[in-house]
Amino acid sequence: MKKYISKSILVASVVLATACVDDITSLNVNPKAYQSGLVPEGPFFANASRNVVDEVTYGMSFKIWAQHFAETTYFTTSNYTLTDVGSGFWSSLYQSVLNDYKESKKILLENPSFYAGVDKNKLAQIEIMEVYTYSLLVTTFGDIPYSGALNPSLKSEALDPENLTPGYDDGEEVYSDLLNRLNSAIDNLDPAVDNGGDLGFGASDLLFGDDINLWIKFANSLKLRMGIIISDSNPSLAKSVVESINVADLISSNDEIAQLQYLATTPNTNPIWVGLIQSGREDYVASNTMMNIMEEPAVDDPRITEYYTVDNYGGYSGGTYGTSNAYVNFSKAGAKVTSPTWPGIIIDYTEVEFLLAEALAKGFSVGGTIAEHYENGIRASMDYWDVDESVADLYIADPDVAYATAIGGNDIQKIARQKYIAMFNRGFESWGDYRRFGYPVYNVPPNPGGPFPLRYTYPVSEQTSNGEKYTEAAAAIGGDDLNVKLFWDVN
Amino acid sequence: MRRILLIFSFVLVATNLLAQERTVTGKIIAANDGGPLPGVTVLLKGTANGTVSDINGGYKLSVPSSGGTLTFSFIGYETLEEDIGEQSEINVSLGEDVTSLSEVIITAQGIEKTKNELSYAAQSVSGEELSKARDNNLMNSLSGKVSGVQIQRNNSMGGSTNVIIRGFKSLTGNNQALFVIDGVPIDNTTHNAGGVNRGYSGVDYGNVGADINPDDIESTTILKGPAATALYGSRAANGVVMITTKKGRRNGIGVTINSGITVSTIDKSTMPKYQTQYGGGYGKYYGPTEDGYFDMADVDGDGTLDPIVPTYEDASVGGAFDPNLLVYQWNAFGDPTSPTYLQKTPWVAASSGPSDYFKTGYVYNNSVVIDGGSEKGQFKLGYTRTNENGVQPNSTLNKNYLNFSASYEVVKKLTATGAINFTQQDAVGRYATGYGGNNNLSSFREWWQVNVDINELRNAYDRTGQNITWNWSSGLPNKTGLIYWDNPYFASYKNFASDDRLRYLGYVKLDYKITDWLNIMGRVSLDSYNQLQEERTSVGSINYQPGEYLRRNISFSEYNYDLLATISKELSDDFKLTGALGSNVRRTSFSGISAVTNGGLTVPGIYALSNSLSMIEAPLESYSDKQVNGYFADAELGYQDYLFVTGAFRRDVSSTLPAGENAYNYFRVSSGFVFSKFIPQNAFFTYGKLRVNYGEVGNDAPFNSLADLYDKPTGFGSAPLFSMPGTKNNSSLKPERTKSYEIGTEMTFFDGRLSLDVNYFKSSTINQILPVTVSTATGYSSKYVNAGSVDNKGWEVTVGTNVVKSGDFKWDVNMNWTRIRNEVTELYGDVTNLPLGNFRAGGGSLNAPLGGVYGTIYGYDYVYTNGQKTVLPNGRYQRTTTASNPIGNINPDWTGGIQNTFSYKSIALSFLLDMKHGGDVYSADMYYGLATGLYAETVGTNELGNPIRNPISEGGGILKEGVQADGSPNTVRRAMDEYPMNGGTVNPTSAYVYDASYIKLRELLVSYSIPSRVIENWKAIRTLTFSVVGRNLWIIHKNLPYADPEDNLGAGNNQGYQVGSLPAVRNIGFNIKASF
Repeated sequence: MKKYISKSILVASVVLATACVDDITSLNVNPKAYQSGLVPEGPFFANASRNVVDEVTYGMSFKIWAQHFAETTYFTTSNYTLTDVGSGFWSSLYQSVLNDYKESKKILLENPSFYAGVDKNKLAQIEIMEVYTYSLLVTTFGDIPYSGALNPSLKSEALDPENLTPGYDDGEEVYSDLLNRLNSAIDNLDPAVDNGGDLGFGASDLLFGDDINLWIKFANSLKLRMGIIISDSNPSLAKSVVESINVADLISSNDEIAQLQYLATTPNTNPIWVGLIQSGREDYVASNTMMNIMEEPAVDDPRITEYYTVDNYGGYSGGTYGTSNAYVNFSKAGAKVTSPTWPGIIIDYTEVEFLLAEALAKGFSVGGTIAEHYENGIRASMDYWDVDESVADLYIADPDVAYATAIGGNDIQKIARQKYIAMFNRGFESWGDYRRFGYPVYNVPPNPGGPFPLRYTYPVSEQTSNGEKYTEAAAAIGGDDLNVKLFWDVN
Repeated sequence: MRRILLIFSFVLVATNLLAQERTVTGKIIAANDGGPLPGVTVLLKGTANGTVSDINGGYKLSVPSSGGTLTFSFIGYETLEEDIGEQSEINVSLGEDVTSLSEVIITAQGIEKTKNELSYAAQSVSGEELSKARDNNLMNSLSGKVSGVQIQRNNSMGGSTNVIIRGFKSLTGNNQALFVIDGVPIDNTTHNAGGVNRGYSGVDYGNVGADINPDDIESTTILKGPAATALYGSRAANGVVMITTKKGRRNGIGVTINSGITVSTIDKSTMPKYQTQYGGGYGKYYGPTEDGYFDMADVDGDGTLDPIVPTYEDASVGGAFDPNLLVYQWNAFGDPTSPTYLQKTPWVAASSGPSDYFKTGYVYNNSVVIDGGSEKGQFKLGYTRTNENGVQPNSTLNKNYLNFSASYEVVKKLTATGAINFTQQDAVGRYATGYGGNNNLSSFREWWQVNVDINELRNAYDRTGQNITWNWSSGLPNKTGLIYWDNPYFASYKNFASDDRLRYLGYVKLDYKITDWLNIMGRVSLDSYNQLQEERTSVGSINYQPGEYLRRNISFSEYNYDLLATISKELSDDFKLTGALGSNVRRTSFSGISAVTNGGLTVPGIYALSNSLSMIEAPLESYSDKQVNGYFADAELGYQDYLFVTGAFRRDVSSTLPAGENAYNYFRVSSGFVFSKFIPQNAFFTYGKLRVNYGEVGNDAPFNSLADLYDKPTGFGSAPLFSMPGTKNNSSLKPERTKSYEIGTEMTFFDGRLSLDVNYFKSSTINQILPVTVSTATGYSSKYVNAGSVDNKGWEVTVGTNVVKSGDFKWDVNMNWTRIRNEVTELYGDVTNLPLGNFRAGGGSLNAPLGGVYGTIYGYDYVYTNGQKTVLPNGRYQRTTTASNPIGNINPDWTGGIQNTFSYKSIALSFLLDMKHGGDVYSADMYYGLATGLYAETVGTNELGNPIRNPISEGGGILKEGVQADGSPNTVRRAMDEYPMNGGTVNPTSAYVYDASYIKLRELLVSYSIPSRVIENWKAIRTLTFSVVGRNLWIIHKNLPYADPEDNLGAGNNQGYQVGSLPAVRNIGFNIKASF
């Protein structure tokens, strides 16, 4: 017995000793995790595209600064009491958008398909979306971390996990590099490639359903927007960019809008529905700024019933911008924009027409007249919001609206005013327009907590984790403050 | 341990028998378990006449016919004196002596060391000390009792407790002490949702180390530095709490029964003091003309507009109370059964406030232990049940502990031991924590109307079972929707979380004593549990009106395979060698799955995944599997009982490091020197020892932090989505290391009546494996690197004094004091700060800045002009433009405890003062509560004698201390008639950072044991003790208003933050313990 037990101990110790011999590092693999090499590029492209549309679709701070909405009890955004307001936008675009595009590109380059033309289209699609995303960052923050791939003067290494403290590049230089990249991408798009079914990203193309012609129109429309944005700061570059566009390659109807059709079930619903309806909160009402502008002409703007709900008194009213407002008293966001399936827009036909009108007003040669594009823009918007053509006719005939006699001291102001109305639900673009036009005149909060924001401040996380480069960047743009004008904002 | 001492005692005393005239006999038992005490010295006082008790605790002594006094003494127990008088039989029971229990200490791997031999800091607390306080979580009972240990408790029922020994060492990893029971490491993870520790709404499910039964603990040893813990491997770098459970007695059968009830109430000093002058609203802008305090509508149909309280406003910046003013309040709408339905009521402050939300809680505790044994073996079977009803509505926590252990000498020299602990615990309605969600405290402290009567809310819920809230959305009187807050009773009764955990902890062990100096032990142990967590959001709740159900299943297991040879050999008369040689294989596996309904619940009240309105998203599966193989050796050479030199070495091979580079070694050397040996014997200085040691501990990486992995979000319709992870992994990680040294001394004076133990230690944890927070412009928010180094150094002082020892009266004072200083000495690359977490409001964050302290609070600070705070033209303080200013430090300057114990015959009274000095806490509760006009300081009069809530145009407002930008004294008044008054963004973050110091009366205990003289007549009962226990009775001093500075949010590294803080709970317990 005793011997037997001694032997068992001996055996047990041998077993224990040998258990330690195998290479145990094979345990360090999670069988439920997706290792790189197993996933194709498409799902990354789709995810990034969805995320970037989410960011511009919701953006309540943009909608509030554009004075489409006023706030109820907590009016810190509308009176500009703002702390770390840009961190979500920044980290989402870098982390959830650009890094996924980058991975998509990496996978694609490492695993070329049989159809080189299709791969080329995909790379161009990624490129266009990256340009779009960087254009959002650079027009919001100013100098930003960016990659120096094409322009040797650009030095920082954004999206490089080996360099944990990326430097910031000059915003204007980034911008011109983006325009170059956009041109190349447009050239690389080919709707007639040899293919095995899909022309580009196929089912992962959530925006255009694999229609390369629509990609061409989207890219050119983006180029038009980017050209116009720098038309005050760099008119000559703007002119060459805008005039290089073939107008036929622009978005030319409401069927060609660059948009994401949201779905009825979470988590793929429109984020406005999530924030305003699903949350059950009562934070926003119509702003008196927008409401007054829409009600100013003799003929009330027919879109008012689409933009806003009726208030408790059966009419339409906006809360005073920059103060607290009783939710119960005012109109709220209308049924369409708060529907879970309402699409999120990147760029649409309405905007293109107003951009063309502005191009003409600035002396760029794009064909047509200012009045034509102005009226086309209004009609496109009316059509988008399902206003009867006859009703639209009446509105356009109103002397306050008709181009010749429209409200506004000059061409730009006339365009700005109607574009402002039409860009409802497009807070990001409206806020950008105001920084260029300064018109229509916004209301001023009675007790502002700070200046009108002309940019987003860099995220506080950059201060804490990239302090040195942050400090340099802040100095380079004239201070990391909300009221620092960006390079394209010279008015 | 008793047997070792027994031998000593025999040698000392057994020869002293002298012929006397009569004989006294008796039996000596231990007061704590009623078991016989062998080896107790029985002396006739003032003589050399004595004996020692035998194996059954019996003794027999000849005494003079005139009688005298007998003293009963035994190491580790209180000394007792009994008058002989005419008695011929004297039975006594000896209580444990806490101060001298450290005489023999059980160290790593169960190796016993005497006080002389110990060459590093270790401190013991007896099981009695821990269990008598009757806290359900053992860790809380350690608070204030041990130097070097910082316990941060939590006021939630069964909430998690942070146990940090000798400071925060790891920048982002685990800093919690390792818990080991009878040589078996047990898991102490906190399975909370990620945001709980950062103040997001959620539930604190507690740390699973709370599964230890406090009633089953014989003793606890705290090994503080890695030098003491090299033998437990990497995890012991944070210190070890070693628990030894009670063992069966050697002879006979005994039964011990314990029964107690604890009554709990909240400490009202940790709840807000509300103002009673102004009711709900945000200012004067309601009604059709937007200039009143009330909404106006013709509710009663008399053609005139009636005032309605803006119920949708969750603040008290509204109209001044006026009992003559009748208004429609929340209770006039939504519920036709309301006694005030469609009725106006006087506009007055509520007569019952949020403090009345809390009820009296009860904990029932019952346990029975049967133990017994013979020369060959012993067994113990114990069952403990605790039922807790918390102080919040609908909260219960039940625990069942079943323990069985047995050992038997199978054949000569071979002993088999087995133990199984089965713990089942289930909870309903653990308190919600954090901001919003179901945490009613975040409403009570931050968003509330002081006109709302909590009892009416209770009645409304009881009457209807519906969410009849005080916080109707706008639209009254026609529409009653919901806006921000549920009826608090609806939230607690309908939106409750529940959880259930089954845990098996056990081992089988064979000990083979090859020779008298060599023993081989083989052991296989298992710690395993399964937990189910379920969270409910009722249909109609504000959090998510369509309703939601979430479930998480967690499975954990850890196997340890140990083989250990221990040696204890007298090499010569002067030299003794003790040592251990062993191996350990540890395999830890975790898997979890969590799923949540999508889009709402189809049928209200059914909490099942199948009840999801839309298709549910794929459940989240979590997984980890890890193995560490360790080999170790430990040897100690002792010379003549006064000089000891020890060395230990360990090599670990871990599965989580890169193949081929996954082995790492560590070691310690230490020495103990009893220098009093060389000081002539004197009554003043009785004992002195010096300890010096140095140790290093290596550590491995978290599971799966080498290879890059993708995230997979729910697809967009039929299009699959993939995304990059937030953390960039690193395939070339190396093991991290903690190096530390320690110098300590231990001295006793005045015949042992004063003892002093002083330690100085320094530790550096270098080359840390951490996900360093990176600029998100890298595409990631963090990246795993080997970087960073944190130093901790500090002093630990323990003083024990026997102040009075006079006849039957005894007064002992034990004190401990700890001071730790921490510095982040290295970070990664150009990184100068490691953010640890952001606070939920006000721009604050917790950081580890290079050259600064781990746990530095950053935030916006004041801008000073000529040394004075600058006030802006809008009456607000100017804030720095950056939020990276150091404005606080969560680490205390020092912590300490003072225990006073008084005993007179069989009555004992003790109390423990627990103190923390310094250390800061950021209060989001104050940030909001001052902005919403809830607190007492938001009313009153200003220096002009006017009510501050008057408009500035009427002389109201406050004049904030400071200067204007030009340096002239501030003359701009800050309006107090509108949100955010003098809270929120009006002040920088630093205004809401408070000193978290406290002095607490932690424990108060009165116990009475029926004297053995009396009890022996009752035959069956051996001991009977009654006790009254008070716990957390009184916060004697604190600087944080309206809250408990100790209350934390879950366990983890993100401390120093309060939001929706739970009030402290006072406990008073009554306990009866009997042994048979």
